[in-house]
Amino acid sequence: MKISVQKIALIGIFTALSLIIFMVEAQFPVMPIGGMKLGLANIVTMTAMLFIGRKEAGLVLLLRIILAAGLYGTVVSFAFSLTGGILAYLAMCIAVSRVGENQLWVTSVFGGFFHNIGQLCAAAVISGTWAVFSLLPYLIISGILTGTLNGLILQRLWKSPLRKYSIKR
Amino acid sequence: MVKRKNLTWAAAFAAVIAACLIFIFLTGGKSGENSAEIYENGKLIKTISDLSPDKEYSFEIKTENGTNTITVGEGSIWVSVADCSNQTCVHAGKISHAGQTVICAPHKLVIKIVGETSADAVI
Repeated sequence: MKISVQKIALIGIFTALSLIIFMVEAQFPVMPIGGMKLGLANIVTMTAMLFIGRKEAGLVLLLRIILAAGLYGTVVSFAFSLTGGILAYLAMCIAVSRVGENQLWVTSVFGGFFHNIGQLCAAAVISGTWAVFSLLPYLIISGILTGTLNGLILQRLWKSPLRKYSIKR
Repeated sequence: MVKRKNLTWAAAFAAVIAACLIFIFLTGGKSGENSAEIYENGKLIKTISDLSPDKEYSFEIKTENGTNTITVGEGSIWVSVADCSNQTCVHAGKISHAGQTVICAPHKLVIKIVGETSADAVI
């Protein structure tokens, strides 16, 4: 497989960027219900999807999850990030090519939504009870709201002059 | 055209949020007449029927993986001390409404509030 220098550089930059955002966000206190958070690191995953490509965005996401877990996570937090991340990634891969230029934020909403579903499934498996699904309506709401916020930021970014660094054809 | 597509999506998501809110309102319980159930590894290990004792009290739950100190008082229940790695259960704070849960994933411990359902729940 041949991979261009440009691609390697961008993957590196995006991975570093999402790791920093992820770690800064981890410093904020979690919300009272189900550890809700904004998921700002997902903006970087989506930007990578637009700037480089879907496969490379998956790589950025995977690297970020592994690095974050290795730096200060636990086995449990790794399992949570991984299930949430993979489900969100798959949902966004499907959504991103189906929505238009001006509906990019929709991709992010699907990402946020499925990320929370994935985490809830992980919580159900780890805790061994279905009781956690009582959090589902709260997490659906938070997923949609944070997804919308991140999506609007993403759309703004995609329409900014930064777009000239995109190498996606 | 572009605007209309955005509006359609926004309306669809708003509808999902509204559905969730209605669901929460319908299933959310009243505080005060609830009881709490504590599960370890999916099995019910303790039920606390009175969440509003005269004086708040604490007790320890020892699991295979660690110990949680749980406190009951003023209609709510919360994890006050836990020797787990992430402390998510401690940060989760007090719960008082039916359907609310505190989960300590490292210890496989779940605290759940059960109670009569009513439509006047406050989130």
